[in-house]
Amino acid sequence: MTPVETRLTERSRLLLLVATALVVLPHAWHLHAWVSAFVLGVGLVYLYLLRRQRTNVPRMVLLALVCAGSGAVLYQYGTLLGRNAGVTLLVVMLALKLLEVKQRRDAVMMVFTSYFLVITNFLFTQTPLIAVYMFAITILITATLSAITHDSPGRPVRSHLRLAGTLLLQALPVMVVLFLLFPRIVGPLWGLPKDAYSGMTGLSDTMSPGAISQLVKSEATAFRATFSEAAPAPEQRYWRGPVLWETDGRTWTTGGSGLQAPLPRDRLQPVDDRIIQEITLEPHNKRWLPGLDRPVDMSVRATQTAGSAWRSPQPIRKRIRYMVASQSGNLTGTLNPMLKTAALQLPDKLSLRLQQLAQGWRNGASDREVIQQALEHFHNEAFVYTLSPPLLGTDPMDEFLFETRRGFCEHYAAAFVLLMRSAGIPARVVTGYQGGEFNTVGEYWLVRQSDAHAWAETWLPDSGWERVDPTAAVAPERIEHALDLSGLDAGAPVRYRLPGGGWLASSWRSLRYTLDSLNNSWNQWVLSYGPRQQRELLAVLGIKQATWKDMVLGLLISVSVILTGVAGWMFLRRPRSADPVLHAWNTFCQRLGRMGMPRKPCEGPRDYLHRVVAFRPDLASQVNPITELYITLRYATPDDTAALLSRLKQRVRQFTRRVSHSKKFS
Amino acid sequence: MTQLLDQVIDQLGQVILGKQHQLRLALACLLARGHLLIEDLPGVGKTTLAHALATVLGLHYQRIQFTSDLLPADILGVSIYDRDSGSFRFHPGPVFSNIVLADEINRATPKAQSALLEAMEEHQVSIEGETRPLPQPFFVIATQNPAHQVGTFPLPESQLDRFLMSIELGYPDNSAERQLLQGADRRKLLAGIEPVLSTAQLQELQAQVNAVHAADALLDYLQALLDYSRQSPHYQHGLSPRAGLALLHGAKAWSFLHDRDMVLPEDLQAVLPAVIGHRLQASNDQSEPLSSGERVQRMIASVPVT
Repeated sequence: MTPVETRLTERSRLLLLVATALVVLPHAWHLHAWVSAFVLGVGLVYLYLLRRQRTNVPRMVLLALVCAGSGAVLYQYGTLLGRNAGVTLLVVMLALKLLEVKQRRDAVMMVFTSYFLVITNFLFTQTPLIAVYMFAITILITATLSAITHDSPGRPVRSHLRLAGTLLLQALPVMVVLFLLFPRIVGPLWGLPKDAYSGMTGLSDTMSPGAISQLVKSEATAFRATFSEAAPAPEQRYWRGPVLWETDGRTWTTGGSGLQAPLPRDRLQPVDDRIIQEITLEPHNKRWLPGLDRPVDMSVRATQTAGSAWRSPQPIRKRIRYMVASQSGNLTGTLNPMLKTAALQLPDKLSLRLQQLAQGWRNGASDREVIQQALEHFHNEAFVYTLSPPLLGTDPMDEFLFETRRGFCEHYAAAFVLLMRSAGIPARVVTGYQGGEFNTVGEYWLVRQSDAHAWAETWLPDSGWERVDPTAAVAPERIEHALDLSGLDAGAPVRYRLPGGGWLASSWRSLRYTLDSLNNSWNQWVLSYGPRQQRELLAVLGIKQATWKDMVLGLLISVSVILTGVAGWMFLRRPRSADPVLHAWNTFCQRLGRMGMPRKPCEGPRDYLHRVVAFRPDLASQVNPITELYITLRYATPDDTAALLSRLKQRVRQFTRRVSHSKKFS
Repeated sequence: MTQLLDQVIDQLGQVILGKQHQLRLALACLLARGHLLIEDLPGVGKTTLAHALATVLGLHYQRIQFTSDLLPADILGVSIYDRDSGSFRFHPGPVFSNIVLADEINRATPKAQSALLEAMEEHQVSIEGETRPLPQPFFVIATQNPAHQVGTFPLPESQLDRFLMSIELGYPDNSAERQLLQGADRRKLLAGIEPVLSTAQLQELQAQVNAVHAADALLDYLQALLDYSRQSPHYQHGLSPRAGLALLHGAKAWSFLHDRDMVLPEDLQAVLPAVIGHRLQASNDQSEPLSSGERVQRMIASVPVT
């Protein structure tokens, strides 16, 4: 046994620092700034000590730093548990461990902690980019492990990296098999702790002036959708979200529980074919499920509200995928009294001017004529459609309609519904999304938060609920194009994102499409790979109704097959001696090895001969000439190589045969 | 020719008892035209060996006892004013001989050491602006006491590298020691040694050693050994190309001594301890540095013969 070397070379210490820094780096985005500053400080101290060839920090200083670090975490989060606090604590302690690394054992511990810390990135974000980064970091950490255990001054860092890369690549097939076949529990791959859901964006169940114009400033993805057939025209691409009934003049809400109750299905009388979509919804921590207006059926467990919006039993906290059947034209039948009351509800204090405006339109005209006049009013008067409307005072709708006349879709929808209700027409506000961008690479529709929209629905006795979009009357382009969010001056009219532009714009667009498409595939095939997908895959492989025992068995078999394959490959790849002399010699040595006299790798032929003959003098007559022939062929310059070689081969053949023969009878 | 060599070994064996292997190594070293360093405790027969070698090879032999006040001129020679001719006349120093025995070389100051060591490398000396060739063949057999003994100036690594081999004699075994104690005086025995070889014969043998065949397979093995010394964490520095050449020449001489015309891996392994023992330093960052023997054994054990 050789003594185990436990001290670390300077280079492996440096590598440890680099690895730690890169492991901690992605956490800088979601942890507090002081954590990054702390880690940076510790790293600099470590670097300084390294330059000064010192590696020990006084125990008391370390203790004080540990107390300070844990104290800071405790002060920041009030706990040491949970996602943010836990990860912060881990980061702080990993950095401090740097100062304590004396021996190989400490460094190995750091490496293993780093492996764990890398995984915690998935608790924050699960994009393919971070996965690629994590893979690269894992290679680096493994290289560090290699450097810690097998460093030598002459060995380049590159060789450690290559070793680590090879190891991980070799592990890849096993990883794929484990990923596909390991029994899945119901739930996402990455169950998040409870504090992970704050800060999710999306439409809420209430709407007040400015709410949607704030939301549309976010470029975040709301959901992705694919149509099983051709996509509807832009003016038909309204995605239905929460329906709002009740207002106090400023804020709109979904109203009482009666309005959330399921709507009896028989009232719906479809007038055209169903449009089937598949929607991949990003988590938004609310319960509603969007669908193309008007969704009539969902593949997940959900209830349809009286407003034809769909609600999930629990808040959406993970990405889900579901199918929606929609019908653009529905006869919704008679309006039941409760809905009628809700659809005519007016705030206690309603501006007189507004009421007068609405009643002026009524004046004996039919419902349709009133609606037409209202839209014309928005169109003809000097209304401006803007993302940054001026703030409104105590009576926002009055101010908007008669003074500022600048607003975003929620202003128009809310004002329109109020006007309709004042004119005695049942109406409600519908929020959701409008439009969406077609990703030509992935062939799906991407709907962002910036596509958030609000419109109105009025109830007409002959046709039921009908969509009216007052925004379209003010700014018809909004329905055709997505918003351009660059350059938002206060009160300025909205600009639109128009197709076209130079090759730069179009290549930028296609790059974005590719990235988003990649993201989408990642979500669909990796992150949302659950028990159902696993069952489907197994069914494709011909295994139906697999229990977890079957799966574990299958897993073991697959991994064994892979490992056997790798072993076989390594065996076959073992350099077959191309040299016939060497081949004959190796055959001879193997034969002797099986007889209990293996050649030591470092043993020369003559030494081996002497050992063999000393052990089995009876073999001398056979072993001697073979060895002499081999030595002559390999180390001397014989005249007739061919003749000697054939003689060597023949002798070796005779030897192996004779020995096995004699063995049989001995 | 090889009978002659056997005679040489026989003759030496009468004086140095029970050290056949070391005698062969020493002879191989001289046949490979290399200088020899004998490193051991006082009194184990270093000087006797050097003296016997010189005598048996029939070479002109001078001995320099290195002391701390030895000057370069004491080794190389000096020009003295000759009143008769009215000019300076060069009096060659003891270095102008075929075999120079540098006794206790590490007792002299580095200045004196380097005077000799320069002569070893160049086979010539430069004195007062004039370059004088040394006689052919030219060998230095140096002896030294272990460096930790009092009053020594250890030879630096660069100079150790100039010795093809470094051997240790070690204590004689029991029977050899008894024979020694019972036998005649070593000095008398030395006087009784007959020269076996002439200078011409020796040079002929050296030429034959050079012609010993080293196959590609053997060079592969040699390079694997060198590579190992350069990659392994156990050594401070890898072996130099000069060490590689020394190994090859030493192995050729060794196989020639054993009456073979090609070098076998075993020959390399046999000369390896003597050739690289003084060249490989244990790495500093090892907690327990390996001894010289362990260093070599580890290298042999780690590199497979293919």
